[in-house]
Amino acid sequence: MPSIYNPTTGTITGSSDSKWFVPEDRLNPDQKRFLQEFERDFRNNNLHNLWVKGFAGSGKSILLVHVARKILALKPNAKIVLVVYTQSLVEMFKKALRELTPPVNIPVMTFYSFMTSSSSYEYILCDEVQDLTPRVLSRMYDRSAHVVVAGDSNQSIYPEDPKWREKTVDVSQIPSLIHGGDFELTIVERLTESIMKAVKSFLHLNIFGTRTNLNHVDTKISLCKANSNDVEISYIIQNSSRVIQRGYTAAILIPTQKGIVEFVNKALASQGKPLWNSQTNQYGKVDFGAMNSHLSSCGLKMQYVGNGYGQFRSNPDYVVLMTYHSAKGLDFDYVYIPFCSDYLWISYNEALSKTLFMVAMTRARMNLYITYTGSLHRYVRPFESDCTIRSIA
Amino acid sequence: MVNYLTIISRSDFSNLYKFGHLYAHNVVPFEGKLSDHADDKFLFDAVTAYMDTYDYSTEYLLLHVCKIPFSGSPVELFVKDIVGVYALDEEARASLAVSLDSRIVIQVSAWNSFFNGLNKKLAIRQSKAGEYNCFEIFKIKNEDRNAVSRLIPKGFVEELFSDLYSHVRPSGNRCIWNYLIRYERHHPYWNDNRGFFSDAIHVYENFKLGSEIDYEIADEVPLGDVIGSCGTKFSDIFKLMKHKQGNDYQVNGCNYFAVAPLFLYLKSCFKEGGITPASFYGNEHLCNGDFYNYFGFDFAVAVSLLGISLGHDLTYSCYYEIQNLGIFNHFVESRINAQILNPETGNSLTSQEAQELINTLFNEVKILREDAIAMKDLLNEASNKKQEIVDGDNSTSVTEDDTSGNDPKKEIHKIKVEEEVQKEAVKEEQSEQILSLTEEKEPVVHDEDQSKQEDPQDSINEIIQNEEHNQELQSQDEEILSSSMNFPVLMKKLEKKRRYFLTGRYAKEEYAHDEERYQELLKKNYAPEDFFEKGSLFTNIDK
Repeated sequence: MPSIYNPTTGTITGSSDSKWFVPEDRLNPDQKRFLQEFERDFRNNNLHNLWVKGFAGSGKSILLVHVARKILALKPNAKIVLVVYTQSLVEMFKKALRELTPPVNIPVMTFYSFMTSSSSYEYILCDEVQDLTPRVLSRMYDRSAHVVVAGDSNQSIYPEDPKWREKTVDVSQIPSLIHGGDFELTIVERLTESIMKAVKSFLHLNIFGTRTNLNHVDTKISLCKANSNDVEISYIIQNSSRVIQRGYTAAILIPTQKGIVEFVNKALASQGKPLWNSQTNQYGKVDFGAMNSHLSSCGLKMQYVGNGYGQFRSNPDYVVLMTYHSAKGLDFDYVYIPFCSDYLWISYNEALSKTLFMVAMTRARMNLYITYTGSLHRYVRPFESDCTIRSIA
Repeated sequence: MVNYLTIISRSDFSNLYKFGHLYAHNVVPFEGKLSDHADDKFLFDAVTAYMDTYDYSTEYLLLHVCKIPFSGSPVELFVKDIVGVYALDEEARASLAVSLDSRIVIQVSAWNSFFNGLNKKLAIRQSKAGEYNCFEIFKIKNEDRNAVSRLIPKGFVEELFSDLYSHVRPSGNRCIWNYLIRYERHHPYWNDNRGFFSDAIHVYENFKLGSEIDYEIADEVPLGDVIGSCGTKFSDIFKLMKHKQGNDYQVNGCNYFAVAPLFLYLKSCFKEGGITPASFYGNEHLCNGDFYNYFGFDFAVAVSLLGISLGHDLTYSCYYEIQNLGIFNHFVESRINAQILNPETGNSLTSQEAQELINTLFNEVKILREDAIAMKDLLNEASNKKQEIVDGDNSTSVTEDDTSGNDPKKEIHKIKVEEEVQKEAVKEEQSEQILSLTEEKEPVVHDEDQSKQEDPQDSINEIIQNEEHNQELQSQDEEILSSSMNFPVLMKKLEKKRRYFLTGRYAKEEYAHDEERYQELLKKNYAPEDFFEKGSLFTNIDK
């Protein structure tokens, strides 16, 4: 279940109120078909283990909840567990399941908790499977009669799990690890028309949007060419400051933490403020808390959020600085992706680079600003003609 | 053998493929090759005559069937009869290729553009149904509905969807409502009520120029300055705008700067998930009719645009609730039964759990009933005041009659004027209290009924008797609640009453100030008078 940055409360809610739940009559045809087939197989005692695969926003998490409801309706005493990636997702799912009518009372736990327990289940439901390790999936298969996992059909953006440092699963191996089949969700309702078109131009995905209607507000993608990094940064600072002043959420997304520090110092320089001398914390890593304090003392309304630093506040009066990785699952009214020239480096792995760039782009709701100097990055060129061109010289 | 064409839903195709046969209801013969009929609109219309509305082109498949000639309908189709499977468009083909048996060859129909036109036609129908649903939900009067239909140009919805399906943005001499409905905010206007007014200005400037402006024009025009300088209360901004704008923004009898911000506000209220009972009842000002009372016809226009914009799909949930569909009684029962079961174990709830559940519902109904009683008091008060005015004027006219010669027509006119003044005063008072979208509504305190003070002892006795009776009935309720009565039955009764009170809420303002309308509502059984009885909540349940 993707978390959502609520601009009104300024919190990451994970869309945890009951609004996120889509009743069965409003599910899209893919989702309805999945549930029909699931129920048919369930009634015929012919249920296979399943991987529900689909792009972010295709409604995988919702389907898992429907599956849980369906199982409980057909077999009220069924022993079910829902396994998710992080503790915050556990809390979100628990709250959301409680708010349903009737409430769905099933245990929800992280995959680490699942691994430390020894209970067996009749049904294991699991979200964000692409971020788990093969060992976890094998254990799920061993400890349950039926496994339904849901996850992104693209590769995980996390190469390894944070605790055991084991490699995350290669998505092509998932069916064999759970000894089951797959079901693909191809309709993605969360992405706007322009973003969908742009993403499909550099990532060849088998995804489709919703039908044309009068209620979908598109995301405007603006390509802003500057003649120097200073001009580029000044433009972003000026534009984003106005945006947050008017009550919107805004994020500047940078590929790496190192890039964040570089951006901050360029931003400070462009505003004639003292640069930040990089400090490390007790673990020898960059102390972003100290960087945030420096930004505040210089009057720059931006804060780094990620790795336990910074926070989302209600009515934020600052622009959020994040890495592409950390932004996964979040939404902002305005998103700025700077330095999108040919020199932009994201990852050594080309496929992962494309996925991460897609993650960054798909965070924008109202406006996406891609800024660059020189020649445009190869991922952007395919959809250049569909963008609004702005000169920020 | 004869060539036939038929359209079936994807799920029907799954059944046909799985079970080997299917009864098809509209199978149309054709001659020659299918590719020869790419422009054959007559054949297309015949094949698609009974197609239902669909969201996605993946939901239907066109089948080319070869069969021994037959007559009548339905006809039994067998898998072996199928000689060609066609998706409605390329997107559908790609999607179907993922989920159907990979051995099936799926081609794209040559009628791609015809299907697009059909989808558009069905969307227009849905949009118009949405307008009707909204009129019903917001209880728009017939005279206003008629006036709206005269205001919105004929063929407006058709033109709107033609542009939408052709990916054409509003430009040139499109009417202002087209510019308004298609507007998307991409500029950082204030992210609160002020933004709706800035958007309205932006749309107006787009309309004037004949194309969409890509900068913050609303911040630059003189009227936009007003927005920056006022607070965030909808009513404050509106009043200030009204003061500044004069009559410059009248569009065929409505105030554009009332309609446009109202429409944008309403759209923002219901953009997530449409108008559902929860989202509608959750907005006190809307479900009480406060906006309609204050803005009148301008609100009706905004509601029309909202309905066109949301369509049936995003309005049916609340519309069905208001229609109180017959099938919902079963829904109520199933909901009750579901609540009586423990969702985890499937066993019956413990008596304590059931008690808690029923107490919650009881309290909810109690609050709704109190609300209804307050309405009734308001009605009585208005009725008494009206009588006072009539009585007062009659006594004055007798004295004046001797000197000035009383004209009955003038008297009636005077009464009517007084009534109008009173209505206006009440309306003004309401508007002051309710029009803030950002502040909580202050409780309305009503004066004691003065007429009762004329005979104090009788009134006191009556009150004491009533109170005793009420207490007795209330203690009966407590007994029923704590007894081991059949909970589903009890909950069903409470649920029924809850529905009545909720429905009664719609009419709150209308019948509080309009006795005729109220009587009309009573006749329609929207709010049975018996329900206003103080005391037991379990009496008169079945009336």
